[in-house]
Amino acid sequence: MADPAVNETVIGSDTTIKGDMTVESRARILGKFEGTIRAKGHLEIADAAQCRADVETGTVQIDGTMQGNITASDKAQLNATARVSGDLVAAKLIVAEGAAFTGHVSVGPDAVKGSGHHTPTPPAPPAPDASDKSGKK
Amino acid sequence: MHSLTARSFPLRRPRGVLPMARGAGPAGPRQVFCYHCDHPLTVGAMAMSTNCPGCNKPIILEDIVVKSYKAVFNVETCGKLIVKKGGRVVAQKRIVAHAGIESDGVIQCKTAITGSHVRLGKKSEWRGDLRTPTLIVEPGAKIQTSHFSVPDDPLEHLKKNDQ
Repeated sequence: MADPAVNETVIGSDTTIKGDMTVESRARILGKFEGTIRAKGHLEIADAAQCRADVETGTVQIDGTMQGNITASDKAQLNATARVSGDLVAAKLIVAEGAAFTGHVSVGPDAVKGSGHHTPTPPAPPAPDASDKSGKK
Repeated sequence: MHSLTARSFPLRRPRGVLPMARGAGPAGPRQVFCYHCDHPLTVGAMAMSTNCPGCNKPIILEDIVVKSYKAVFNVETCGKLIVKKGGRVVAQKRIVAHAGIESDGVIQCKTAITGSHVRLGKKSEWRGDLRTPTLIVEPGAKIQTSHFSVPDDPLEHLKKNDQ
């Protein structure tokens, strides 16, 4: 049973969305999505879902059709029905037998660090000594 | 540096490379394709090597098992390439393993082509492009930037023509 404390964003099977989506916790795509997805938690692309998007997420589980680059800071899981086309960067990769994949792959803890694609973090506050430098001159 | 091709492999097996145990293969004759010219041929279940009737070049039929460091130009077999834990295969050019690849070690190559499944174990490392009909990656495997094409059965057209 799902934990009621965890928010989950669900895009239904009869829904088509174009644009950018940022999710703080979990997201589940059952329909169609085009654009960019940033999810800090878990992203699930369901069996009948069609996704043309660049994805940056913590963990991603793909059962449907996915076209675009994927960056998973933790884990990417391609199940048997997954059809993925695009580049994939992940710390861990699980590919089930039957999954289809075309693209460049980088897997390992170093791959995520070196990719330059990270889950967006809030901007750091401005440095307090910024005005002091100008004052010294 | 030498090559694990039919020229050197069956006659003078490099250290650390062991053949598959006898009796582990399927019973009865089996059909394979020459990795030089794609010519189909039927061989015995226990056959370890033969000459292709199409191009007359020697071909390896047995599984290649690697348990240590092995630097070669090519790894070519109609059987499996099995890299055990602690094994390391560095192929300057290509790996052709028609029956698939099972790795718990390190594989480094330019291109790998298989006609069956590839399994990368949790301690394995991979570097090189891959074309395979089925890929199984266990969590913990490391893959350096490589182009993967799955499923892409390089023997598919041969199997269709044969039917």
